[in-house]
Amino acid sequence: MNLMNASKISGTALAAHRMKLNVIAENLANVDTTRSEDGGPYRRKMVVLKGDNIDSFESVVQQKMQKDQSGGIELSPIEFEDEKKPDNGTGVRVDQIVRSQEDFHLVYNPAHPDADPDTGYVKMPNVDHLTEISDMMVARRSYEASVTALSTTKNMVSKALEIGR
Amino acid sequence: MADSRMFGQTYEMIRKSMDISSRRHNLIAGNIANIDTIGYTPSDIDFQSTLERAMTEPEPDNLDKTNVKHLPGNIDGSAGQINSMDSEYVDIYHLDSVNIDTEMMNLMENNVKFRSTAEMLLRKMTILNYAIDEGGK
Repeated sequence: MNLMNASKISGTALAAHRMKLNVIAENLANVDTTRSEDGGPYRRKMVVLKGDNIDSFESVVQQKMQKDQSGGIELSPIEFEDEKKPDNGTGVRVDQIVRSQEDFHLVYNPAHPDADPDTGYVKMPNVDHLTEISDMMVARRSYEASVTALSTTKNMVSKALEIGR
Repeated sequence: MADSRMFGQTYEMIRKSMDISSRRHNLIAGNIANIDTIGYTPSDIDFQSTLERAMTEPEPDNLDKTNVKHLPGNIDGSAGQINSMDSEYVDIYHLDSVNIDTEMMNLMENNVKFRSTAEMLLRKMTILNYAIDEGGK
């Protein structure tokens, strides 16, 4: 069914933006972390999103059937791609989480155990509160937009179900 | 079925219109999902021209036939599924990225259109029911 695809698409967006919010929360939590696992201060994480085609029920079934017919050899998905399905819409997924390469903030605090013994400056994480908060607001709004799309889908499905009554 | 008196052109129109609406809803949901995706090009279909196309286009014969005397899948060539949705892709509202205001507006507009089409179908069926009941005697 067509509308189920729409709810799946909105679902991927909800997951992706929740992930983004998680990463932002992690950044904010580590705003003062001077010792990270890979040594040195914490580096800010950023989420990169990517468009992702939704596997519809039919395409999965078709792929499985083709696999059975070809004696268990799974054909590469590239072969299916030339047959474009324009009405499917595109979902979204988190492609990768990258570390920001911005410079660390330098804070003068000679008493700090991680301070440079010569200069007395401490390297603090390159997390900026303002950036994180505004990113968080954007992610939240995107999340809400997808929730609206999802509830519209639900609305349409329930209206369609009324027809049978 | 388009020649049938009971289910005239109206049903055909309503069915296709709901189909196009749900397809369009898919695309809009995809656009909203990709607000933050870099390099994503939003897509949309033009409802009016797609419907016009779907109503005029003859249905492709999808039935497999083993004998020439077998009946075709389409009765009179006017009814059927919209298979070619590659028609009429419009991108007039946005240049290269998702415009959330436009998308939300499209979402609502499409929702109202779908619901009112479904309602139309319901009313049409009520009329049919009334006739079957012999005017509710």
